[in-house]
Amino acid sequence: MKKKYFLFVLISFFLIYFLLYPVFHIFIQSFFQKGKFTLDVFKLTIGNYIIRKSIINSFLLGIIVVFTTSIIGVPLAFIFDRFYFKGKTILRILFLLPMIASPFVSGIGIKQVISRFGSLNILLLKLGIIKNPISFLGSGFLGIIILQTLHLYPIMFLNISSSLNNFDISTEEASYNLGASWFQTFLKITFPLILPGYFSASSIIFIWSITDLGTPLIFEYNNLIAVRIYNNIKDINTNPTGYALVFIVLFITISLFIFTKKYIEKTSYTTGRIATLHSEKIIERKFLLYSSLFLLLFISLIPHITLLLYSFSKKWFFSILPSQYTDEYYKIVFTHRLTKTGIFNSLIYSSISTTIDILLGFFIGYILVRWKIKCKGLLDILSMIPLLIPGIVLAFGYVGLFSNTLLDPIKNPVFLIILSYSLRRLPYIVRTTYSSLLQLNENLEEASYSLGADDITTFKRIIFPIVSPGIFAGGILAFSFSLMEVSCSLILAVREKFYPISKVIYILSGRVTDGPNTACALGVFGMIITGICLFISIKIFSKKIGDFFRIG
Amino acid sequence: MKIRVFLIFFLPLFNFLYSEKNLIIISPHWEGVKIEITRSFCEWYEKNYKEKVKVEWIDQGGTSDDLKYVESLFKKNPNGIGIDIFFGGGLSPYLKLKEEGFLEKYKLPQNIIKKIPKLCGGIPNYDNEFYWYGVVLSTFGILYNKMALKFLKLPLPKTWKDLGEDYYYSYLGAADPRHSGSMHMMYEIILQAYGWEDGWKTIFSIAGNTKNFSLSASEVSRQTSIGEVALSLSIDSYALSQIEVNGRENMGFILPEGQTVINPDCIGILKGAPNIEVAKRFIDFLFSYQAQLLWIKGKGEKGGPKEYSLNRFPIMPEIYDLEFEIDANPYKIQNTIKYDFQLAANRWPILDDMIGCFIIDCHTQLKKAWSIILKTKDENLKKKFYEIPVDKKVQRFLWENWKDPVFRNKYLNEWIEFSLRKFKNIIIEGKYLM
Amino acid sequence: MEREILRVENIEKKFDGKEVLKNISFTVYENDFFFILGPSGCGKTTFLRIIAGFTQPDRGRIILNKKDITNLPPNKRNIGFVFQNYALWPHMKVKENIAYGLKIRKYTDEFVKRKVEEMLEITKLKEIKDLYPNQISGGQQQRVALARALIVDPLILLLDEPLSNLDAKLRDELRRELKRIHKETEKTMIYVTHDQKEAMTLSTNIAIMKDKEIIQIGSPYEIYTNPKNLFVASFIGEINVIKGKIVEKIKENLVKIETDEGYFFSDLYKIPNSKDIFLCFRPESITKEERINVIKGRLKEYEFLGETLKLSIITEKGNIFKLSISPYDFEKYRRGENIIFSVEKEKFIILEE
Repeated sequence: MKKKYFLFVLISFFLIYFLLYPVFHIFIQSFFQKGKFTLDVFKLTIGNYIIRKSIINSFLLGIIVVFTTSIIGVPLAFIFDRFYFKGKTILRILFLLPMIASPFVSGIGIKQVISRFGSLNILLLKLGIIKNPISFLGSGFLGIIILQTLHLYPIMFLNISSSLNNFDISTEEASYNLGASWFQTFLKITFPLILPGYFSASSIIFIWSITDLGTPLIFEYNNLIAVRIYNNIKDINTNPTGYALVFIVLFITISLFIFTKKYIEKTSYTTGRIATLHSEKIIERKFLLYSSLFLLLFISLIPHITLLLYSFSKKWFFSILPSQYTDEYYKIVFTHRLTKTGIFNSLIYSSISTTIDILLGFFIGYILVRWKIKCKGLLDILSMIPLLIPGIVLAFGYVGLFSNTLLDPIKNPVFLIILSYSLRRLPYIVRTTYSSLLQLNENLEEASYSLGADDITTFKRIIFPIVSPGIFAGGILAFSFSLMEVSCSLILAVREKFYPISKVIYILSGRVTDGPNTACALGVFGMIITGICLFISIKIFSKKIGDFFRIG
Repeated sequence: MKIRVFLIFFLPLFNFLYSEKNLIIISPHWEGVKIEITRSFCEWYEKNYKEKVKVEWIDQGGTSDDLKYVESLFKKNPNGIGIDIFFGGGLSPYLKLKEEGFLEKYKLPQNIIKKIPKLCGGIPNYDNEFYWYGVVLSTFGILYNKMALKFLKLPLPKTWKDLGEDYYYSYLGAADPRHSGSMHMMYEIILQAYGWEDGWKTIFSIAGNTKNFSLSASEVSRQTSIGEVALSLSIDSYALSQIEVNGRENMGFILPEGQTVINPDCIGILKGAPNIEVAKRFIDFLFSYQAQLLWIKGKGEKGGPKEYSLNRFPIMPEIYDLEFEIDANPYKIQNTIKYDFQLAANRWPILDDMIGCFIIDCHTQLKKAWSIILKTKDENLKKKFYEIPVDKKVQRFLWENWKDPVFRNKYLNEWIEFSLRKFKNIIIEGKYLM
Repeated sequence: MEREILRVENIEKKFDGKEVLKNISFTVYENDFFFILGPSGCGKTTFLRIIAGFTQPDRGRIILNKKDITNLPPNKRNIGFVFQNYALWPHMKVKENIAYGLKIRKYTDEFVKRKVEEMLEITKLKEIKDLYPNQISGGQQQRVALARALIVDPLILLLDEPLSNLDAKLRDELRRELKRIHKETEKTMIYVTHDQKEAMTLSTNIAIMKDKEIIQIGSPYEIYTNPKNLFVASFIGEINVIKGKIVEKIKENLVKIETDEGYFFSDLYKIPNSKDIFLCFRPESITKEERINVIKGRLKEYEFLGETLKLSIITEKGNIFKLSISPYDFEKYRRGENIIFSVEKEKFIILEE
């Protein structure tokens, strides 16, 4: 028993120190100066026009992206839920594809297409549709919206799909039966019932969008909170406004999270999950359906296609497609010092962090389900806290907290990078373990004990082998997420030899000559790995994959 | 259970997996420079000192970002920040670093110093107290996309002022001087070339035509090559790289007539450098014939870089005795302006903030006002457009107090409010006129 | 004298303040097939888990083989456990499941292999040793669970309702199997069930549990013939009950009892506290009509079971009695429309209210 409490305290302390303490530090730095409570830092921050503008822009971006993803994701989910058509299963997986490359990566290629003398404009000019080239990129804001939308709508799709999956269609039929029209039914019955799912998806998308650092950096768009925070890392010791901004972000995420959670609790009308089998209508206008689905798919894959093209293009100047192709960038990826370092580092970081995730997440899940000790709830809360802390906040907190210590990211960020990777994905592993352990009959363990096996043997030989497939799938997802993680990587990796892939991509994309091409090749490499990981975990998880993109 | 506890404690050890001693350089130089210089230096070092060395590069973005970063670190650790060398970013950062006492003195052997001319175009090539040295020389000009200009039927600009002509509206690229040192140089050059008042007018006109301000100079040059903009302010090296990639038939670079400045791109050892011996040797190396040649030779050429052409002008005049594809010798450029580098260094931070507040942070409004002025061609509005709330005479007072955050913030807020009000009025009046 | 192997003393347990076990004590001797019999929810599984060490008692001691094991973790107790749901590990083959305990004890591979073969022989599982648990039938799973627990030669073997998940035919078959295995292995077994038939056929001793407590312990015969109270009496086999009152003590050990079916005479060795009693008799404790203790009633239902005939009769007063007779005797009891029988005075069971 004592041993158990010791372990419990140890893990809790670890999580408090590396999760809550940085947040606490941010709080202190933004509200206290020389030990006294003050709002000066906030006045200074809010008083600055351009920071105000950035905050407003971020909000605007979040709202617009939620809106655009809804427009695409919700109808898509309805089509997949209500209609039967051939190839549905495959199409469903294909619509997850846009998630395999973050807009941070695909943004490098897309500029080539939508710039003023890029492929799209040249095509339109050649076709005589326009006389003068159109600026699609605008100030970069539009580009960010487009890429985030194309990247994030699958999350909306997944969430609404699972809401509809748990949705009892007879409630709709009852409404029709009472004489309501389709529209009335949607408004009064369907919409309120899927609202919690919609709300949760919207929160995730909103938070994702405003804390996304990579995309605005690639589009060189400065006036967003995330970029402001990133720029503030450089003078974190001389300029406290960064802390205030981080605090604002944290405040938004936490309130949104609590609000969402409360809202979902309040509105979850369904008492139990009744898997209702409803007949899927066979759609009549097949051509329209397929062509619109494929068009959407094509559009959402344009960034990825461009990425691929750009990674092979030797010369792409004033033409729709590259005029010369080469595979030299792929050779560079695997021979160049920086890319090699990046791949090596990322593999190391991700595999260690995934291992920690699996071990720690599993262990916490196990404690939560099996151990009968007091204050278990604390661990439950602690392990879910990473959901509330966006990467950019965590990384900023680490830089602020650990500079000038043994863990100083300038000296050596390895520990902090690995830690931030694993903490960010910890809740998902804990949750996966938790639910699979709940389903695992305790007798299986007891049988082992009664045969003389101790804790470790039982764990190794019985529990782990039985629940590992689910956790393995979660681990694979965590691995692929870590491999291409952006915010923490960009902020924490300062020295070249510690760069992970995403930082290398960012640095390469800023290089004058072949940098962007090499960055694209590296991006394609990452995309392929992510794709494979996603595919494997879909195979294992099947429909439950949506759990990884949900709040609460 | 023990395994997991063990793991938690074991983790920090991963840090040491990577630990080793080497030379640490912070630099805004692009990748190619880092790779080629590292390669050559390591060979040179092994040959001369019979031991291996590793070079590690830190980058925080552009020159100003690196500078901010170094200053921020020195604030916390006044005796040394674990970085050996600051390399690149022009001249002015070094004046600032020296002034703040962040540089370490190092005198090159006399026979090498003798070979470097004291001045080029009136600007010193190295510090007379030996705190910093120019390694290469930079020129600043205009990069243009020949195809785009041809399509748009636009003429080539000849001077900085030409960039403010209305036909370039929204086809001009520029970056934020608060991040990019080379961009800052060009605004400073424009100010010095035309004088305070006309200089600002030119900068404002250019800003009116600028599509949007990027964060880095390299991004601007790439935007020019992909045709997002047709022409842009650019340092020679970026421009030459784009020309190399996309071909002379597609891209071009010009130095505005009589309005350019040749500026050394410097290096200095940082105070408390952990590997000071290696750092000194690194500087020795940079002034070797071998290293100097590296900057100008094309990739793959004998004695040249292996993977990336660097397209920079070495500071040692003896290099220009050879013949190169790029037929330029910065020492022979005659029509430079008289450039006050001390003034430039002094007002570096306030110029950044002025351009930031007057132009970049309110660029949306500025562009709108400019487009209205271009439509109405109203001289009064134009006059208003050029107004700034700072007189040339108060510059000194400003930069002397600029370190005080309260003082600075007060002005920043005043300036941005002034600018927003100004552009708003122009937009309202302009609509009335139309 | 039999050797004592397990003794539990005053075990008590509460879950969240709710008492589930109250003052449980008993002793199990070597070679016993000890049954804990009780309706579901009476705490018997909890009790078994306490013996195994999966649950800690709040009070009391457990002495196994003269050693106090109350605070020993389950893996140090050397007690076998067969779970109601078998708890076979789905990721291991049958033979791996069985070999597990030996491998834990780090025996040589050769020894393990030999022992497993032996055990497969005893439990007749040879053909399926390479299958996974989800590929075999319920009865086979049951035997694997048994084999797995037995192979490590535990001091005692605990079985938690091991047959409850099987269908009736399989249950009969496995019951016989269990008896055989008990005989062959000479293992002391403690068996928890709510099925009195299992208890009666297999046990050497039975503890009857009700509502957190043990009510009676004894051999099946003792419990059947001399139940301590109405609950035990009705839980073990069928019993007919008539409410009555002792009206007269005729002589030593003989009383006269008044019921609404008339007066009855019964042996009585221990005078109850109250005069109000239940007069009970087993369905088979009847004879054909005698002079005393006669009951008359109409046939309500009957059930022919081959060797016996079960009758259900209803008296004029509306009482229903169950009788069990040899089918050949049916006519003996029949008198016109009515069934008339009497109960011998020695065969009455008098229970207090």
